[in-house]
Amino acid sequence: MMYSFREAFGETLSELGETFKNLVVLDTDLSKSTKTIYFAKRYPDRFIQLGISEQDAVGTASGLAIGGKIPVLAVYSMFLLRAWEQIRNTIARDNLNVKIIGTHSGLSDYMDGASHQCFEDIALMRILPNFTVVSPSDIISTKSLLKQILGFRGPVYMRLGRDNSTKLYEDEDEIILGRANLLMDGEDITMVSHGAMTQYTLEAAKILSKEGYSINVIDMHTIKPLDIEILNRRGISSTPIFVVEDHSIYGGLGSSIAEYISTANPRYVFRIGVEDRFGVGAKNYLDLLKHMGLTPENIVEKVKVILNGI
Amino acid sequence: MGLIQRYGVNGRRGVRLSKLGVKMLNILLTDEGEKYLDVDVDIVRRDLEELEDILRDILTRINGFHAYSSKTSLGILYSIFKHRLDNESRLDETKIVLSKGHAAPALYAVLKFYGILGDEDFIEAFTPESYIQSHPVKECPTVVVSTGSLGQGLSIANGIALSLKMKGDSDEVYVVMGDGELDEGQVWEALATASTYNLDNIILFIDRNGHQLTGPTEKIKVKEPLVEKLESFGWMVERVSGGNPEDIIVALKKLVDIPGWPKAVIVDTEVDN
Repeated sequence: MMYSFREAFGETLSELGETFKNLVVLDTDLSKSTKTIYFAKRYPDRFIQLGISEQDAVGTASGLAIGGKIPVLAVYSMFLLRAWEQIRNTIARDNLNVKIIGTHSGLSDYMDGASHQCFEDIALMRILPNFTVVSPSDIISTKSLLKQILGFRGPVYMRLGRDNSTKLYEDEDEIILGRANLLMDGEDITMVSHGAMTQYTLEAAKILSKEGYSINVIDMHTIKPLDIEILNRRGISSTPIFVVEDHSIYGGLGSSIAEYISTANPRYVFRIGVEDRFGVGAKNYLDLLKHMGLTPENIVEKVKVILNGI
Repeated sequence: MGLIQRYGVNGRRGVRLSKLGVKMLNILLTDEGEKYLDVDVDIVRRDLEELEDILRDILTRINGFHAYSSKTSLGILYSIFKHRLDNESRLDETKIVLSKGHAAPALYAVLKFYGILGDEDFIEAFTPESYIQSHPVKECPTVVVSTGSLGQGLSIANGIALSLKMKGDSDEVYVVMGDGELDEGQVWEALATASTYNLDNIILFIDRNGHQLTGPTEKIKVKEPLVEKLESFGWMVERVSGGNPEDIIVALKKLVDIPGWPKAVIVDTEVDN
């Protein structure tokens, strides 16, 4: 069964409107796509339509946060980046309580091609002081982490895929902001992923397990602050690390882990992601994953080639 | 029909005075109303003389950093506080968005004049230890948001104005924008947002000093006809000469209570450099 990130997000946001009375939602003419339309219908007086104006939307969200509201701004991650300077100079600089949801990230917007597919957002958001960066891997963690980011004061960037989600967790599973989840326990190598690629990383790990490899799989749903504790855990602290993500191999979670590991406990960190390139349109999601070399089979192949080389 | 205009945003309905309605209101202002608009020119001129000395002193500490821009904004920033003083509104709770952040010294001069900043605040001014920075930071009294990057202030003010309306708070937000900033597309996004939501609790001042970094504004990118542009974006606009600073206060008093429209005062400023 297929689940959808944006449906999970939209439904949960609408439900949380009840819990968080100060929650307001801003839109740049995308609510039908980002699914904030559910919130808009339920709370029309707390929904602010700004038209196709991302920079203005970031400024308005900043002002609402200054006024004591909890603004949630959901925009395609790609188009959010045209307002990066506004995010940097106001939200990050003044440490404002704005929750930015970058939807349709990575390869998830498979049809729209290079102009819409965003592989640069984590690099740009994680370098901002004060920001927390989150990338839920399935619908359960999307719901749980959304609630958690609304519950604390400070700027957050939450990266979401479009549809093509899965269910890696059950409702009762513990998903804690800032603390990664170990999905598979092993000894030889550690595979780390976030967001939509976590399910494929887990699939790849299962294939590799059958071939005799003993593998840790980590869902690093909180990218910043990085959960360094799990990387230093016994059974993980001495293994080579493979980071798989639908983000550029430059600046993403792979880079973040490499930055940490190079000074803390040097060992191999391999980055499997979108090479130094732009996206391209495809008729379906799996075709695009294949084109980018990111299907479970591709991942298995890459891991084996690398392991044979070291 | 005519004097009152209906509007609807997001299912909310309301009425506001049409432009004709506002004109009628102004005509109908009684003697008492005229008195309300009365401003003591002598006090204003005397205050500003003192303020110019304070500003000169501040600018000396930073070797005249963006001096011209501060000098032309001085009358505008003074008018905001003078208006609040006359209205018996709390001065230290004034919500200023200095979109032209480089005019910060003028704000510091006004804050010092009204005693919101004291001499002790200026001892370490413009050092890393101080909240008196070359561009305003939110730690400074009355600065509701840190600024410095141009063209972004009005969007932020719109958000604050929306939050005030949601809370039923009748306070106003004052934005001081430079004319060079009008080159930024975001300004026009924000102008449209303010009129879409009828943000009548926003007062935008445009310091029309005619200069931007590399030269005269009209040689770099044409700004005029500015009144018409703002009006076509759904704003209520007054244009006054900065040479008569009392006119800024009169314009402010005239506009401030008009319901249903975001309001702008374009101030044609020029000072001896």
